[in-house]
Amino acid sequence: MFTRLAITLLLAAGLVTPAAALEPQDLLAKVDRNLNPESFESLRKLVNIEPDGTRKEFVLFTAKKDSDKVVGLFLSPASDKGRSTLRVGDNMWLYMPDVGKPIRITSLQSVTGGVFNNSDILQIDYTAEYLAEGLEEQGNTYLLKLKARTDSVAYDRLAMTVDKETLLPMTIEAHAASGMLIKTLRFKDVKDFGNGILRPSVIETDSPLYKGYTSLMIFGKIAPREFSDEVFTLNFLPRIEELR
Amino acid sequence: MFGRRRPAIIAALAAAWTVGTHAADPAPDASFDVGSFEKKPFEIGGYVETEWRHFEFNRDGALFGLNRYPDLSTGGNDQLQGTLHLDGALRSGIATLRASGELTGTWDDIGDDSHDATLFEGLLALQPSPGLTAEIGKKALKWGKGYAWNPVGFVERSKDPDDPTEAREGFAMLTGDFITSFQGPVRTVAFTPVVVPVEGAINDDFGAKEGFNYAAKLYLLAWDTDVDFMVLTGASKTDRFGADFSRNVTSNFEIHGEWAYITDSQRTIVDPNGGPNRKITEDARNWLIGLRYLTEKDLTVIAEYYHQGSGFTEAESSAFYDLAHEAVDTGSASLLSRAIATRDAGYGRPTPGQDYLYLRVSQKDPFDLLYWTPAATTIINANDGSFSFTPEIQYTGIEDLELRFRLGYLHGGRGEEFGEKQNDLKAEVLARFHF
Repeated sequence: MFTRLAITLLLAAGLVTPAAALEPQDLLAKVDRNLNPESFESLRKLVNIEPDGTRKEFVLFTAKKDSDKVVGLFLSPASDKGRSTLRVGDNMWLYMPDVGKPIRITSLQSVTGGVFNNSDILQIDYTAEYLAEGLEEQGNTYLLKLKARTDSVAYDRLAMTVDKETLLPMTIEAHAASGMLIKTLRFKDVKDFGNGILRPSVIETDSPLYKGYTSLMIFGKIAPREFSDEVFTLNFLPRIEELR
Repeated sequence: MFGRRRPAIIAALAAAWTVGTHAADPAPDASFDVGSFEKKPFEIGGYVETEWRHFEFNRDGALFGLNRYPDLSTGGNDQLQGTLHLDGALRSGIATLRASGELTGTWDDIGDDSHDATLFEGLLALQPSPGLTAEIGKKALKWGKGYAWNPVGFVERSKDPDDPTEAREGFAMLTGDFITSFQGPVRTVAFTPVVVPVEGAINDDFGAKEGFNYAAKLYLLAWDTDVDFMVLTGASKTDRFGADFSRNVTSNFEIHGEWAYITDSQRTIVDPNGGPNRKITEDARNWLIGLRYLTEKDLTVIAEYYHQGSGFTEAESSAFYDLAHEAVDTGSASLLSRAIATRDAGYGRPTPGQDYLYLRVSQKDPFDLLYWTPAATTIINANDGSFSFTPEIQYTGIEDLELRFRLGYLHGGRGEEFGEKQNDLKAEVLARFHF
């Protein structure tokens, strides 16, 4: 009852967009914009939790522009500090200060280990990677069926459960081309980040490929910010710290 | 009125939505103190490292005899090395002062103990806009896409294919970056000019003659492919041109390549007929093609084929090994002098031949053992069939601590590269703590 009232008030305040008579691709675009502005900066913590409860944590500054450009800089732990990653569309690179030059990485690799791969860590708009092929109503949720646009995308298909009233994702099941479930992402703890950004602050994931392991992505800050296109280039990658 | 209260209302509704929809399924501890990650104008970090190495000498090897003569009875050596590596940056406005270097101390069972201080980089960078940067000072430029070799690395010290990710010392230079981005198939164009002076003690190991050297690199991200074109000309080295590329073919498969053309490349060879050492001058083409592949089970394969036109032919290598053996066997001062001179001029460097295959296979978290990465690397001399084989295991499960154990086994017969090295077996244990 209270939740219903809250959602109604949110809608009245214009903070989320309803999905009346939406095409699947339009709904996906609304999910993208409800998750974050097209261009923004963020501070995230990535946590890998082992079956015995041992945690390994990474803190990442991230800048995003347009639908498909993301750059990230590791601030912690000390062993990873200064590493930076860049994604432009399907292209991904990792810069390690010791190595001194960017190397190409692929979306299925993981720069942090754990269950999140590079595609999860350097997430771009879902509309840039996926075509929405189907939309089913399931009570209070929609089920969006997404198909990768190219072979370079990490997951061949996504099944995204979207809250019908807030149009925020609740779970995403990621499948390989063979149909095998690779991982499940659960969106939790909706938080007000200011500037009209109201979204889940925690993404939790596990995978049948990593039984007993869990990874968390915790958003501490998200703020709209415009960046020059030149920030999202290999030559700028060693200097991402200057953006902060 | 609603506008002024909006943040409070949003927060209340967000909490209500959260409680209403997810109360039964809370996330694990998700605390995050954002304030402790504010940017600081001055930062310093680095690592302390200790490494123990054991070498079993290859007492039949030409380089063992040459390096160890006249002490040919020792069967092996142990070394312990301690390293303090520091990286620092001071930022103010558009200016950044950056430096990295290390202090090392080595305790050697059969040689002299030593200590050393090395400045890898120390430079001032000015960046008035993201698309424009100028840098002056000592910098370690790294060009090329290859993992084990970089034939287009015209303004850098050579990489050791046995340890390709180790930090390398830079050269004093003036350099910059001009970056432009576009929409469409060509998304980025970046131009990097470089000036490297050689004068007195400045860059005295860059090239033979004093004067200015000019290099440049043009980078394109075009049709989802990284492409670079590079050139070097000037007083200290012969002119050279190159290009490289790298591309992700699928979500788990990357290919790359490099090609370099070196005019008047020189190498000092041993005369197989017993005459004095000779210098051969000819244009050389060095190239590399490689791939990186990741399986669904997190097995990574890196494979590269390297042709080094500026390297020694099989006949030239054999002549050197014959000379070294004869010099050591006879103890002739003149033969030893000739052999040592050619060793130092090129035969003694890692992978001095013409054709190599590099293969590295690593498995992340095998058998659900998180943070353990076993790997095996082989470097094969494709001309004589000799090879090195290096299995290793790395553990990174303790925050800021890296542990690595490596074995290195070298296999080859007389007259073959890896059969003539100083060692035929080595073991290394490394512990590195980052701060």
